[in-house]
Amino acid sequence: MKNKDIPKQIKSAYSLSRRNAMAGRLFCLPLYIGVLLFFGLPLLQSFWYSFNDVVADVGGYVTTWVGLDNFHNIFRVNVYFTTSLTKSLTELLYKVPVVLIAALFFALLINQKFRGRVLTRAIFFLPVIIASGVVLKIINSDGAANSMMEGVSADSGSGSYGSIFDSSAVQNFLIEAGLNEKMVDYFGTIANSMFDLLWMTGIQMLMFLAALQSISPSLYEASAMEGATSWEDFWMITFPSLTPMLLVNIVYTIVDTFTDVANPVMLQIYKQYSGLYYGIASAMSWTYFLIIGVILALIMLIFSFIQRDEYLVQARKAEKLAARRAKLAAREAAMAAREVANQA
Amino acid sequence: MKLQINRERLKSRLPKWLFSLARAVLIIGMSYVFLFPVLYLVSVSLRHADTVTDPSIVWVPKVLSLESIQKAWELLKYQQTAVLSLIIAVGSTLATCISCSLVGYGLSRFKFAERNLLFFIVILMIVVPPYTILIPSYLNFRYFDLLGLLSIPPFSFLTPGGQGYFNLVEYPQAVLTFILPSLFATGLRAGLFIFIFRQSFLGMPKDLEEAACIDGCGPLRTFVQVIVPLATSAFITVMLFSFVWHWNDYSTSAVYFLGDIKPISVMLNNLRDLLNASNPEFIPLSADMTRTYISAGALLVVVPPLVLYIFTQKYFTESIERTGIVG
Repeated sequence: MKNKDIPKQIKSAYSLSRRNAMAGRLFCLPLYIGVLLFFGLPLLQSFWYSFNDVVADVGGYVTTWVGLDNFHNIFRVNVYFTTSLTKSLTELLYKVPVVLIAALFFALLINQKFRGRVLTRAIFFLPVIIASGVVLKIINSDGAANSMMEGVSADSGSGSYGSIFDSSAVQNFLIEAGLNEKMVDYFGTIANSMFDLLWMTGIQMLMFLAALQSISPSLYEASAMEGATSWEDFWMITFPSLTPMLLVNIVYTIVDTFTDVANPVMLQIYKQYSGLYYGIASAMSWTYFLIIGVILALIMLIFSFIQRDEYLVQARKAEKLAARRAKLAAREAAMAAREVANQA
Repeated sequence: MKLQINRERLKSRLPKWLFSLARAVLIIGMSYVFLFPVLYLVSVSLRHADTVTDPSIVWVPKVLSLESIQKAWELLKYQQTAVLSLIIAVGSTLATCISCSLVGYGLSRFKFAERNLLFFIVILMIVVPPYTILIPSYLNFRYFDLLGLLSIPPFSFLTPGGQGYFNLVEYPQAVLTFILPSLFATGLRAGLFIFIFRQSFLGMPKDLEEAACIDGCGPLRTFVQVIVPLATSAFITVMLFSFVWHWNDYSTSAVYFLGDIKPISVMLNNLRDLLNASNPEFIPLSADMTRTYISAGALLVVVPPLVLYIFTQKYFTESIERTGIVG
């Protein structure tokens, strides 16, 4: 009886998993086609370019194999590439945490109910529209508005605007307070780029907002019944529910700062492209996004580790609990048996 | 006794009141940061071009004039180019939503051998800077032949003149260079959208699908009837971002659109040159005049997505009540 059942079960489980796999592949079908037609081929071509000397020709490009010359060029000959690479990497160190914390903070703020919420949300959406387009470029190139953005007060054009993020006052204050000069410099950089950083938060804020909206309100009701404070609510309900989006936001912030047109490395790449050095430009961008890829892989690894670890801890706890219960039950059973024996 | 009650009331009310004040201060401050450049744009573009340099004007123009907006409207060919941008943005957004949500679901809920490889490709799509693949992509669209399939005789008759490829890099059909990749989940920033969908599906409880499965619901029907309604906020986020990013894109659009009529952001990017070219006497305009016209153009470009947002943002607040699982 038993022997007959087991293979049947395994077989059915096997076919179910196979059916699942097929369904998954069907769902991903657009991606297969798209990667084949629009992404994979250009990517491989640019990879090929990075080992070649590319010269524009009628109806296409002529490539001649040069091996690792392009990579040698960008690291050994080009003066700017490595310096701008380290610069954009150090920028990342303060940009990501500041942007994410600010975005989360403001998302929590505009997720609350208050009068004028619609207007506030419309205003907070402005950076999403403006920061990704030409308009920011225009504002940046504009004298008066620029003085705001850069944190430098200037007297130009139509009246002068004192800047709201002028960092010299902050720096003086910090030096007066007896802080280390390097620290002051570090804070000064942050304060100087505060306007840019706040403007960068738009998209992350919206993503956090969407994640906040999808948390079930019944969770908060339950915690209110248990008498939890809102501080506990945040750490026990809100933050754990946000972790999937937190990962998206970290990835987005890193990619956004890296592929931003104003990023020093992107400027280098763009310069090579406009100079028609496609081989060198391809080599640069491949080196560049391999580095980003490694950073992102590390972050994802950490995230998956945290999540898996939590599961493991819980599983282990459950196991221990079960073992203890089993032990107790066994002891009780033994006691009962002894009692029965005694009575007998 | 009475005093005690009063004190209690004060205790419970004071933090709330303080909290509201702090919130208001923060929100107003942030609003100022975000509004400043926009108000500045409005103020500059409503001025008469001759009074831009007047140092006595800070915010409110002395003479209101729509002249610079009119001029920007004409130079941008606003009616044609805005419609073009709208077609690109709306078409690609719808295509992106459908394809990327399907792929995101496939990656989040099903196990198959090459899933991790696919996810790796998605990450690659996020990370690869657009410039890297711009030139190969251009060539791909210039001689678009479905990996050589269209150059084989029976299919080559489908192409214009039997030449074996489509030229997708011209004014009307260049729209397809955005919509086609979007249909196949490889459009503008599609990797990020797939990632957003995947993460939001991962955050959903599996019980729903199990229940649907037990009730005899197939995977596609489960997706359409159970998952999609729950993921409204993810869909709206993706829609907004996709629309805005397509609307604002000027680096890739500039490559695919040759000729006079280009998407609105590209036109805005070229507005300085257009201004100089439109000047009959070939005297360069003063920097301040140019600035007025460009500000007016920027304002014209910003308005449509903002209107879209104001109409869609109520769905952000509505999606709360639609979560399916109780408890």
